[in-house]
Amino acid sequence: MALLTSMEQIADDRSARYRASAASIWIAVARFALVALCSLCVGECFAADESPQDIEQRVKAAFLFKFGGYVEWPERVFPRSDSPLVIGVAGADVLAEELSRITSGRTMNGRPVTVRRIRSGEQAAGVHVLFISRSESGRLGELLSTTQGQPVLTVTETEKGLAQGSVINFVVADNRVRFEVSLVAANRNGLRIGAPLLAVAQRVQEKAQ
Amino acid sequence: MEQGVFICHTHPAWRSSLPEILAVALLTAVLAAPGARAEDPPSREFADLSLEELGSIDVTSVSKKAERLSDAAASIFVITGEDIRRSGATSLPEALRLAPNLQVSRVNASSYAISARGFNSTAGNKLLVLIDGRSVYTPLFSGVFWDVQDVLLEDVERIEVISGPGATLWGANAVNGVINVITRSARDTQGGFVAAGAGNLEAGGAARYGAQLDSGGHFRVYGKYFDRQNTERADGSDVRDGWDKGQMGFRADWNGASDSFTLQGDAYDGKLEQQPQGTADIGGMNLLARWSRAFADGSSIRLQGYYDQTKRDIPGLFGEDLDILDVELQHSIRPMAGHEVVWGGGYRYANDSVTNSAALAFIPPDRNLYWANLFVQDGIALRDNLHFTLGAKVEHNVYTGYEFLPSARIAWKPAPERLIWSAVSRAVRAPSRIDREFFVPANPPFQIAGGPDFRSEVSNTFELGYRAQPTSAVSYSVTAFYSVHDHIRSLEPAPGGGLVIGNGIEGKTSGVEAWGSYQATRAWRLNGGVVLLRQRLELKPDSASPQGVSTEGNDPKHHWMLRSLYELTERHELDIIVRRVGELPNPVVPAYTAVDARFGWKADRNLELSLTLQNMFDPSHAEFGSPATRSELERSAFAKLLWRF
Repeated sequence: MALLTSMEQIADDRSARYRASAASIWIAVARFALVALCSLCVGECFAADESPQDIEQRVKAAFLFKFGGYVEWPERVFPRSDSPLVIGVAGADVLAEELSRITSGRTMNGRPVTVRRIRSGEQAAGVHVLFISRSESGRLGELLSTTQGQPVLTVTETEKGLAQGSVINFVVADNRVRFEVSLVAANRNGLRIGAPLLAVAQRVQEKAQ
Repeated sequence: MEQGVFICHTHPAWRSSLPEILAVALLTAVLAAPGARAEDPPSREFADLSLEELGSIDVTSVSKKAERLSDAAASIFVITGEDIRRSGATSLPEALRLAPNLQVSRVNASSYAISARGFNSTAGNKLLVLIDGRSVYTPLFSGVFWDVQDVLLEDVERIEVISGPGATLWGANAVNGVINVITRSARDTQGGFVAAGAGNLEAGGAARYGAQLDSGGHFRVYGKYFDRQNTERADGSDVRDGWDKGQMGFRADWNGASDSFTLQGDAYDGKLEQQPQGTADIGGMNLLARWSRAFADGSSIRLQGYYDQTKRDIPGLFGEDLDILDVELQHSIRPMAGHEVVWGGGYRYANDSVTNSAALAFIPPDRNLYWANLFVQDGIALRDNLHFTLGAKVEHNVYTGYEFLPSARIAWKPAPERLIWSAVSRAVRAPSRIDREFFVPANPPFQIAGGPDFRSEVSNTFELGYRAQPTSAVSYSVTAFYSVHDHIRSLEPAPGGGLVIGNGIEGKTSGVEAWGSYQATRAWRLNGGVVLLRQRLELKPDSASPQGVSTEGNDPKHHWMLRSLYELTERHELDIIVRRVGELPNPVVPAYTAVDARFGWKADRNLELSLTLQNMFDPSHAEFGSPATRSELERSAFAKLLWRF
């Protein structure tokens, strides 16, 4: 109500010349606001809260999908031009669900994209992109070492991801999801990373550390 | 969810005032779906963003919704760092030419007139400019001295250009627009580069180095220098207006899990050659600290403070020493479901010390000024795809006391790739020293005298906008605006002879701003923009200004631009910009078309060469001012080399 009163005061304050137009706009706005606020209190029509972590996971999912468009795998990896691109996800339920939703019905460079959950104890065989959630720190080393030298784009989200051998590592800087790329790891896995991806990378590691 | 409900109920009410329509429609929409639970927000759209856009999403935004620029209920155009690189721009004002919603006019080597939505002048006073959160407007005339505002363009993340009022968030002066220059975090500018360039009109160089700090943070330091040559008038006579300036600075960022801290500063010194002789000195320094914390419940707090010192010495005419201290606090909370409240306040103190001359004076020469403000804004999610934002700022200044700056915005997304928005705002341009304390000459009898009763100029603006991305390759934005201005500055006859500064102009501006982008192929992108402007200013009945309304701006009725960005190969870029600006009425500046091109070659990952040609098909043209005072901008070439290490 205080807002309404002060808005009307301001409107009254104005010179007579524009009173009709400006004042009526403000009064209408104030009345509208009041109406809107009141109706809100009774109508519970809000979206469910979405936590920042969820948004982070969704953005990472979109990145994972898009990475495929900027990476060249060795020719033998895809026997046919429409062989699917398989993205493996270890951990990260929200991300995996989101990724499934994104990829259903979409193709990447003409290939259908499928998402495969890599549960604990499972091997990541046959995947082209492998995302290892930070919740999977127990088997991170194992998953990275079994895919090393294989044509797999490994993606992690831990501080020492690149040092442990992953090709791409997500970092959150300034509230934004960014990523760093290791060309050493990419070469070792026989992958070519496109320039547009490198240009957006926060950091590109070109030499072994 | 029945999205159609909104539009059918608005239709019959079309002839009443728009806010009423919105109120009725909104109420209907809300009541029509009591207890309806919104579906999960459409999440597919993330996958349609570019890598750059994905990397710019604020994942901890208080709204708890990923905030994309395409969701903002305002006429906002973003110049990215990549846009700047591919334009070949060598200064901040030149980079601003990339924003279709700005009118950027160069007067001579160092002087620019920049505005949005009319009122353009070298002393333009309705546009607010922030560099990394630091307001660079001068309380001397409520405008910007463009000859001292600079950043290392290579380290710019983006420049947000908002045309239209932004007073509720940014305060008085944000009447016609806000320019937000945002540099990259130090974490994103690690490593070094050296750049050098030269051409027929200017030469310059820059270097930057960034590294990690032992404490876990990151820093960068940079330096740059440029020298612009004297220009010529249309009659071929030389003008002494050369401009050279050196600047250095640093930025350090510490980003923790919940806290982040930024410390940054710049120092600069330059010279402006003067007609018919002599040199003006410009210089300054600033230091800014910003701390922010994100809490687990989604709320966040931000505290920022800075010190900004500027010096300007024009021998025999004018000198100024200005010190500014500014502190602001912003707190974002979610008091209840569906509400996102941002509130905060700020205090700004300025000590302005002027050296007067016989020709002109600010009286008193030394002045302490302060501004204090409090604001609150509530973003209300009426439905998942319907957001209403209501806010107001109360700002106090020493001249007119309290100013009230409210705004209401509504954004409706009938589909994930379409947004319709509307806003009503009140903004004021509060008096500055030039309005109240400026005298020509310094002693009576005055030809021009500051107006002791000069009051704030007031603008009420209504905007309606539509943005869409019909396919992943096409996006566009269209905004219509209508502003009613009152108490605009005029020069009134003084009782004892001469002129006194008054508030004798009123009027309306209306127009349309539109721009779009088309990714024709993977390697070829087209951008275009157009602004149509109608400005009807008139003297108020009680005004007897002999100058009429010509003192408050000189604007074209239209201007447009078209830009082509083409990657010839992975390493070769060819980028062309065509700009057309209509005739300026008073003083007349002929319409002109300028064509600029840049060829870039990435010789290897660390070495980049480029050649920029400006004004290619026209030996020269003028952009602003009267024939007696303006320079012709010549055809130019500029070659640049950038080496990263």
